[in-house]
Amino acid sequence: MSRVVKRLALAAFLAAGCGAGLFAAAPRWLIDEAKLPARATVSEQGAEILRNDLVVTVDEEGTWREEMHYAMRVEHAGGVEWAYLAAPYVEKADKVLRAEAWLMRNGKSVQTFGRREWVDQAAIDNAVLYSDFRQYGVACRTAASGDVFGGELIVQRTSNVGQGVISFSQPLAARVQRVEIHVPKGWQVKWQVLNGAEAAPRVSADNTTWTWEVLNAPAEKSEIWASEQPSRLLALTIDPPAGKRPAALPAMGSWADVAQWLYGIQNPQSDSTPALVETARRLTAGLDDPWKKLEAITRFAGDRRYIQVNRNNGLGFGYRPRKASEVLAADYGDCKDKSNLLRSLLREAGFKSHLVAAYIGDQDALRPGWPSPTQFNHAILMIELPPAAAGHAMLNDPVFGPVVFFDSTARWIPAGHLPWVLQGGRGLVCEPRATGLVEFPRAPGDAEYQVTSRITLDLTADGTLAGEIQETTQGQLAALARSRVFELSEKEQKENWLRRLNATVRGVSVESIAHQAAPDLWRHESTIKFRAPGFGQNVREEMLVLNLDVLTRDSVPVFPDKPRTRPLLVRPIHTVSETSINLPAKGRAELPAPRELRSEFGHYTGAYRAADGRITYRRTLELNAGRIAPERYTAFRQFLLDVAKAERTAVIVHLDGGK
Amino acid sequence: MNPFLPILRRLGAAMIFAGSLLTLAARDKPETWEPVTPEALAAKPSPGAVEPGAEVLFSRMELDAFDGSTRIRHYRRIKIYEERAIEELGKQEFRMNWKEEIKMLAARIIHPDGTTADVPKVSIEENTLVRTQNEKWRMKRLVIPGLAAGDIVDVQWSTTDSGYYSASRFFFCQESIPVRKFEFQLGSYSAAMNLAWFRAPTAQFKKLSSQRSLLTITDLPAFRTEPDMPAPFDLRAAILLLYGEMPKEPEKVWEDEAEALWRSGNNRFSTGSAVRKAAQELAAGAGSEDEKLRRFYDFCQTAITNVEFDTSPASLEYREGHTFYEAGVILGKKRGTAFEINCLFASLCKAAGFPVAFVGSADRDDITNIHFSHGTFFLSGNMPAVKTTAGWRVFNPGLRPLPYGMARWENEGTDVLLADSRKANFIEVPKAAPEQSPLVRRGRLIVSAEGALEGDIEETLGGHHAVIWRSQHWDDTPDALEQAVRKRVSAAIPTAELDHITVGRLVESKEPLVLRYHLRIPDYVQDAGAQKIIRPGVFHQAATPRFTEAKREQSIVFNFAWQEKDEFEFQLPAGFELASPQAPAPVQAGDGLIREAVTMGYDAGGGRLRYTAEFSLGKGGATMFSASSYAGLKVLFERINAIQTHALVLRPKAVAATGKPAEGRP
Repeated sequence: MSRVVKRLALAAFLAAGCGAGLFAAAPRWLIDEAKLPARATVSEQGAEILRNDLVVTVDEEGTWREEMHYAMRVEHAGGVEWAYLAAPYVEKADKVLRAEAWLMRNGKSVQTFGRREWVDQAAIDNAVLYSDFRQYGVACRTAASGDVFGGELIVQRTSNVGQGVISFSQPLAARVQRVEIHVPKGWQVKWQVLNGAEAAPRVSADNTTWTWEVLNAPAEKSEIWASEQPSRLLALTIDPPAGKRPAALPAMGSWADVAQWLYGIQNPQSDSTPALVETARRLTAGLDDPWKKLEAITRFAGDRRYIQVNRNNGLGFGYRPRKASEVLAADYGDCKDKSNLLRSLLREAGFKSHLVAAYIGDQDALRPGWPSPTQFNHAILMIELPPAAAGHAMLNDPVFGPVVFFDSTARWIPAGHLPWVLQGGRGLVCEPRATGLVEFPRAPGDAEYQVTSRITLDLTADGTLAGEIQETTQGQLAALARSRVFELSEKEQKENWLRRLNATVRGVSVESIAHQAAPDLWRHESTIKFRAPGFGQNVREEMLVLNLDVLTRDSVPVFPDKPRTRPLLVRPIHTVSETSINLPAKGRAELPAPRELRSEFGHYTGAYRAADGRITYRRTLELNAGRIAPERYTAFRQFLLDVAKAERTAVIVHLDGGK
Repeated sequence: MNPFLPILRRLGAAMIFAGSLLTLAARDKPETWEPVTPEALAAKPSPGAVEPGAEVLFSRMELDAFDGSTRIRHYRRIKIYEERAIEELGKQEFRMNWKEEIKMLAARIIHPDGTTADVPKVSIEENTLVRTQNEKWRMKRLVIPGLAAGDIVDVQWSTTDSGYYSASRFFFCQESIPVRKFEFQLGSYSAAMNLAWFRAPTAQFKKLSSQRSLLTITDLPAFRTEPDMPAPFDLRAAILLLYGEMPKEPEKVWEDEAEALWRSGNNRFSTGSAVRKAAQELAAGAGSEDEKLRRFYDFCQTAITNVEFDTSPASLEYREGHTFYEAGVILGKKRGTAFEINCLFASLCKAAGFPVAFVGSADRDDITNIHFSHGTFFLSGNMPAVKTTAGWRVFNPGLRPLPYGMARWENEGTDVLLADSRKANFIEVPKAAPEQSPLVRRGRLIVSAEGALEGDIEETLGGHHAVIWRSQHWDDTPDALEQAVRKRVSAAIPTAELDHITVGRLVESKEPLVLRYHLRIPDYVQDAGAQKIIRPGVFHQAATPRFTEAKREQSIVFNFAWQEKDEFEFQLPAGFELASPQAPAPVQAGDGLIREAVTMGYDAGGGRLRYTAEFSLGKGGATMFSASSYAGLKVLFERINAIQTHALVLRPKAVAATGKPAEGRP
């Protein structure tokens, strides 16, 4: 089920649950919130948070009891979609103890949402076979402008490891956000604010109550090319006194602790069975070169289907893979399952390897200063290379020697390479010898995101065009191209090319497509032949206007003309395209002047030349990878606008025989 | 509350009633597999199938009822031809509502050599998708491991419903991959259930016994979606499981439906004293019956708050647990639901002496032609009709943004059934003319020496354009409205920069919607050496032709007729003039069914260009075209695109041959 459909389904269920009865009176705190005057102007979202309180009480066993008090005001009818309250939980590990909500109008409760109206929904998407992850929530669709919706939710959690991350960044502006932590006497609260400004707590004299308060936080806007991480997080580690650690609460004082804990829950899962031994033997049969063996086994692991089985997530926090033998038999798994299977298979083939916990989505998101498994959302494998394969090493690790990393989830990225979203990021080798985070190597952008196009066009006097495109992709783009060739039928591929070409070449029909992948799978070549009548526009039969941006139109990203609040994560672009076209008989071309733009963000060139009866347009665009701070956004956008403007060129061909 | 159920509720509803004494458990046998045939092992894609990654060799459904429950047993055999099909078919899901149960779910793989492998139980999981205090919505998921091209997959399961069906149901039997054979066996059912089918020319129906019958449909091609295609029920093979006796006389079905409509709607029109008084006052001085109707319509839309287009606390409270107030009460409350407003309108008409009745209508989103014996099942909406001297006319003032004299586009061109106690009469809802749905853009724009274009734009949206926009955005926050305008413009001009955005007449139906904004396009001018190129079709300059695919399977359907007009005045940069200020030749097809024409006026001295482009589609109600006309239509839209993206060359004045103003109409 797509995310959109899921959201709609939830909305329908939640909306259906709004025919609420009138039960308990609203609590005093909510009545007080409802009396607060509305803001003078309606916010962008049409709603604001009045209060978002979270009180966490930790008991001697390390169990967290979270009590949420939440109130929001609908400022405009369009903001009613924000009138909901929900909390995630893990089935069998966590418990929703209390859930109640109220709709307040003119300071009085007009609707109560008791248990009957709340909806318990699975957090499940297409790639999940089973999931313990759920969400308990209620939505109010009957709120009018000016109404206040709020509620209380109590969840008892055993699914954490004495650590938690609490976001101060909300999709709505929030007047008051408060986090209050109560711990038993002698327990320690370690904290830090990730991303964003510090927020020092108030601490009670006996060190058992810690309170953070953030006032008047602006809404966290959704922006394109931004990190998925909230921009302001409070990270907590709650530790018992020495010698009083409950069995269920592992120590997370250092990365070594985290690695040790992960190793402890993961290592027993890397089992071996005769079937597994036989699979490793079959995959490497006849191969002497250790790198070839490694390639064969990693390809096998990468080809297993990606399916999550999120069972018993309270135990192992979702970081424990299924047994390798189970995954081999089932023939599917998620990132940690597939990496763990790969680890077992490699071991049978004589390789040492280790699971690596990582964060996928933002290379800079992992905070070295906060040792915690909760920072990870992905698992890959680090493979120690024997001397005969050491030349393929991506990294020479001081502890593990020459190694390569392999992401079994990225099916089309071959051994020796990593998906771009991991490159330059950090991970934790889940092995007792690991003492800190390891940095994944980053390949140069031009090797990873390069596309070179050669387009040959032949134009007849009536404007009909016959063309051939040779497009060579390199690196991550080659992987993408191979995945498309695999997933799409030839008809669908032709339709895709039609859509691409149609932006520039009107009435085009694709005649043939051919593909060729390089032996190392890191380069891919496509050849497309097409025809298009009426390509050249005839202006009063004296001149032709030719647009030669056959594949590059709309290839420059466009960003909205409004202030940016979050850093922009830029992937590299390295494109070279050369388009050549023959001149009609007696045609005289008027060529635009060459253009070159250079800035800290990238480099652009565009140049035409006429020789031997052909016009050739060569265009290069390089966009540097990186993280662009919001204050540099305007300059970055301007560079792209300048490129877009420089691209707006055409050739005028005078058909008057050179007059 | 509108008593007429929407189509999905109507088709999906199944009431429970007492039934047979046979036990279901006795029929829940463990799975048995169909024999593996050499034909299945040797199966190749059916002739004519376009690159199918897989094909359903057969799909069978058997419906039985026992002990108060209804069960459908499913068996599907799918051949995998290409590996790319595995991602989709190697994982299947089966959803259950709160009173359904999926049982006996099992799958196996048949390898090309005929060996088989059962899918382990561990690859079948049940998830509770949504749980409320009283209901559970669950889903079973099945992953088929070890699947490869050349394999065959057998999947079987049964769906048990804790009750008998007491309403009709649809099942699509045409899928996204070809289906070689589809069977539906209707078994022991104590209630009267019957089978009907449509869009299935190969269907064969056979009575197997007094209680069992079998429908077989063969060689169903893959169902593919295409842009601007007809409604799904117009195209896609489906079966209809009919609750009740099969109609002996098809005409009687419509008579019964007309009578049912009459019974449920007739008492909704009240002509009490308040209604009569209001009708009299409103009609006073009206010069024609059309004028009277228009006044009633306007009154219903403007003097009565439509709670479905109002978010005040009073309207929200009105909607809660509300059933129905008759017209007299609505007049007093000055507030009502869409249905109540429609009833008030009909009541005013009736009080003024017009015969009125409800009509039952289908949505063109679902189906266009309902004239077959089971077409009654597609009647999902209702509207009042008023008999005038020119005949019956259908109205829908309950849809707040809908102008007088128009119907929703989903109703246009469809036949609606008139409520009547004795006979079945149909009225065709006319299609609005293109000029009733105008989209006009006007602006005075300056082309800067740097190549930017800048100026104020006013867009007015009328007719269906306005109904759609207003229906989507009437309750947006001011920011969301701005974003909607930005999105609309940037879809046409990706680099457009907008400010000073205003939206006028948002909740309204008589006047067009107005969007105003200041537009700047920094990269508007194209550089061509010493000369420059501009494309005065500002909102079409980056457009691509509407149709790209070389071939078309389905006919082409435009939702409604419309016209567009762009009127721009350009101030050209100093030092430049147009080299060839000639408008492109107009194109049109079928005596103006679709047309595009541009006129230009160039004032060389003042450096001003006046540009007017007019597009129109659907004159005379021609908004549907057969697949055989696709090639011509594609070329036509390519020519339209050429006109809309027409380029003009600006050359430096120093090299100009003459400065003579030119009128551009070719």
